[in-house]
Amino acid sequence: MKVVVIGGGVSGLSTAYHLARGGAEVVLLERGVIGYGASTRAGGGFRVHFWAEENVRFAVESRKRLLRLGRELGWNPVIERGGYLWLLKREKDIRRFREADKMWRRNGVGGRFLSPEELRERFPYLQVEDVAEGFLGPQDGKFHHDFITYGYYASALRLGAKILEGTEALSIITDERKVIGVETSRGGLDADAVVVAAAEETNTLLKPLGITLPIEPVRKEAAVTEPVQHMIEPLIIDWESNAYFTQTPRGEIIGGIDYPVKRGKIGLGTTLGAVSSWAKALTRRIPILRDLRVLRTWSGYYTMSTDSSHIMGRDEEWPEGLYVACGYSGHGFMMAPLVGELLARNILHGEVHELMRPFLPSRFREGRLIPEALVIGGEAGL
Amino acid sequence: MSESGAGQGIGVNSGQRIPLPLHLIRSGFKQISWSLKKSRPRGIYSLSPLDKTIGITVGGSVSINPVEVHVSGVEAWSPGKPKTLGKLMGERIDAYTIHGSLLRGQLAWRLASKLIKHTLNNPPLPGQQPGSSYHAEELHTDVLVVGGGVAGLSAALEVARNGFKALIVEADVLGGVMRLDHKNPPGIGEAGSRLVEKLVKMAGRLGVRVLEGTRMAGFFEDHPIAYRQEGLEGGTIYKIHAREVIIASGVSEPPALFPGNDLPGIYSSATVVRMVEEFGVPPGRRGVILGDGPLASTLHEILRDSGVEVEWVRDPGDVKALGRRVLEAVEIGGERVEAEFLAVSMGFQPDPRLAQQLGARILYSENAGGFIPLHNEFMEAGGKAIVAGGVTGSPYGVLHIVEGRIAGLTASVRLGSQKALDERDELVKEYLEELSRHAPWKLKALKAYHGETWRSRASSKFILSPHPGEKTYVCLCEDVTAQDLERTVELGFHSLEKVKRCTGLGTGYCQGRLCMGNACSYLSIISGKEPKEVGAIRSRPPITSIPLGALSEAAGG
Repeated sequence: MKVVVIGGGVSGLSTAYHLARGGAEVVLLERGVIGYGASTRAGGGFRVHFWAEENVRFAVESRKRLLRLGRELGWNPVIERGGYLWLLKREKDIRRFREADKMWRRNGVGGRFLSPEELRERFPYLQVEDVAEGFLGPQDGKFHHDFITYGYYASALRLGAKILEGTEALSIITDERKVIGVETSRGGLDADAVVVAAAEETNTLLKPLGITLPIEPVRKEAAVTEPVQHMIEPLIIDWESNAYFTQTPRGEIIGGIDYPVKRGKIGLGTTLGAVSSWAKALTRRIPILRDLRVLRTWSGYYTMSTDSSHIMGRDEEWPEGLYVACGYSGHGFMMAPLVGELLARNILHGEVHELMRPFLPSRFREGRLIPEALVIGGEAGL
Repeated sequence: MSESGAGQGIGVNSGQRIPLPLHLIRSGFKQISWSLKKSRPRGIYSLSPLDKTIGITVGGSVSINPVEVHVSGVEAWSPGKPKTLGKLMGERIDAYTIHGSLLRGQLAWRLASKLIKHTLNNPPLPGQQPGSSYHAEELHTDVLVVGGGVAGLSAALEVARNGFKALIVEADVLGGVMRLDHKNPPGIGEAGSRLVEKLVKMAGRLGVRVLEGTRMAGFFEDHPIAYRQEGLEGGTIYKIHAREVIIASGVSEPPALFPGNDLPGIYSSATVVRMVEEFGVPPGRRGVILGDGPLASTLHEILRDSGVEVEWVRDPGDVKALGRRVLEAVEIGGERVEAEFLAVSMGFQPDPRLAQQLGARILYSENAGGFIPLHNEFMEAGGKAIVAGGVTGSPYGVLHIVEGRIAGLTASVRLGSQKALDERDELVKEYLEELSRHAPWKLKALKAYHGETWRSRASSKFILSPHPGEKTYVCLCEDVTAQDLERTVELGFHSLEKVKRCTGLGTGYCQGRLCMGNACSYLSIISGKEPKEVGAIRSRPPITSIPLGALSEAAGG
């Protein structure tokens, strides 16, 4: 079976890798270089704690795969299991987390609520006098996004997938009700199936086929400091300012903040506004960091779907052989290991896995959305 | 105190305010730190605050660039000699061991990462909130000139002559490289240092505003930012409002590639000139000058005059630096020369990162030995950038004055000056003549700005050993060796953006300033790809690190 995957981000690469493993003849098209728009720009966190149970169940399975990725791909994903720590101030937020924790427990991923005293004891560097309660999700953690992206890339190549960088997909060619190929900037390619995993550009390719998905790009910024001795274990989210920060094994402190920017594609620059607001939120929580220096800032894109949950698979009303994987809403890395695997099974064997079913694109047409409000605005790659 | 400067509690006591590393060198300690990944002894390579390659804790402040501390009587912390475990763990975070079969398994990594985190030889955090204070200031000007070398000064003078306000932001002191030159730079009829004196005087008379010791940190989408570190007291962050921007940020003097090139005792030639002339601290009793760069002849004279035994190797062949903890000898063409220091004078390399941030297209040039921003005959480089001087790859000398003046006139023209327009036309004619005399290759670069194809091979100007191998450091901050680059090429990765992401090259203290050009040339040479295919690293603000405390002062609300 010949499959063309459009888009060389982590989800396209994971899909190409699983397809090649399943014996398909795979060509991946990437307009620029692999990982360009988002996957090499992530903040590097994974979690299983979402408001929507569908996301929790999907993430729990995906996490298992993420954890064993090192052996599978031959690249160390540098997984850290320090958990996520949410610092909550308001009563209504605490209620919301307590409610959700019941569902999380049902799925085997319950967390711990920590009083300010417990927070002070476990994280003595944190200023928590205005914090009412903390929620620690110990199943969550961090990874090195570049190593995962390159791990999938190298493994897909090893399994015989062709990865064409600097090659743009111009249009998807259909014959009556079936996909038959892709027109690229370097000529045409035959295909029995096409997977569009091209973030917001997915719509550019689908539009001529009369299909539009409810997705839009939103830029997020992140920053990293110079390295210091190890201190911060979990990824900490200051719920009200929406700042997050953590420390890499190398010693750098990394994070970001929800900072309003124009929506849509606005380049890959960064703003003083974002990095300075982050610095302010961070030094308020950890005042001893005042002299530590910010080394670099960068930005990348979330592709937000209207319900902030990812979109995968195909709609029966679409031409045969057409699939998508997009709209991750900032959760690409944590979902991609399972998305690639299930999508490959879907394409090669026609199987629609029970975990994948809620995420089909037909949900928008049928009004079965998966509203996911636990998308922390500034949480790059979380 | 132990045999080197690295170790807990460096005691410094002196009446004279000189950079901390020079206090140490004067007391015989060249080593200041240890590198994180390969546990190599590290000293300073350069006195320029932009060339930060190590960070230490001084007086309770973390990640201080030691050259920025001018104090007497401070307590400094720098990583002591790593313990066996710390050393072992440092090696584990190196790009190639981290993916080894030993570590990538789930359990093995869980264990290893715990060990790594708690034993890495990183600077400690202070136990209590630091007492330093930071301020934010807004500055308004017509034209911001980044860099106060001869090009920047010449540009600012034209701006002021045309009746506009000019602000020079200079990382160090006015005058740049030419300030250190007692000889006549090419095309200039007097000593570089004399010329600088005159330009500085004129700038004063015309009311050019100057911020010395202030590093241009970069162009965020919403604000250009500069930062001034005031020793251990804190610092000031400047939000700059300018109608036009001239980038005259000049050059860096990158390390040359040869085995042992990271040993303490190896400095850039400009650094050695300043050690002796400005601070009266000779780098040692005997040493070697490597190469025939612009400052070599001045340096040779200064060293000889101050009684230092010096061997000047103008055209070095195969070079190797020898020494256990610090430089002890240099092997040149198989011959051993005892040396306490080595001054690298292989030439300069443009630092185009700020121009790139403003929208200039940067390309590798063999003649410039690094990346240059493409520009037209009016010194416009695309986007908002106007460029001049060393940053454009123009060879050292009179071209820096001409380009600076044109850049100043272009900024004035853009601000509406008719007089500047007429003057500029005259000057451009002169410029094109000077170019064909001093740098004919730049005429092609001008055409490339207008869309003609640009081709360049890699320069081996800074690559002194044909097979540099393991102990040759391309990136000093992140411990990336020539051999590491050879391995990435074997993996099929030759583009700088990918090499950066799998090795960490260019992501450390100097943010690519010292390594980007050399990495591109070396990758091109070993992979057989053109420099164009290897590409550049995209520069992002800040190019020079800024304390969180200073940034948070710049936050609104």
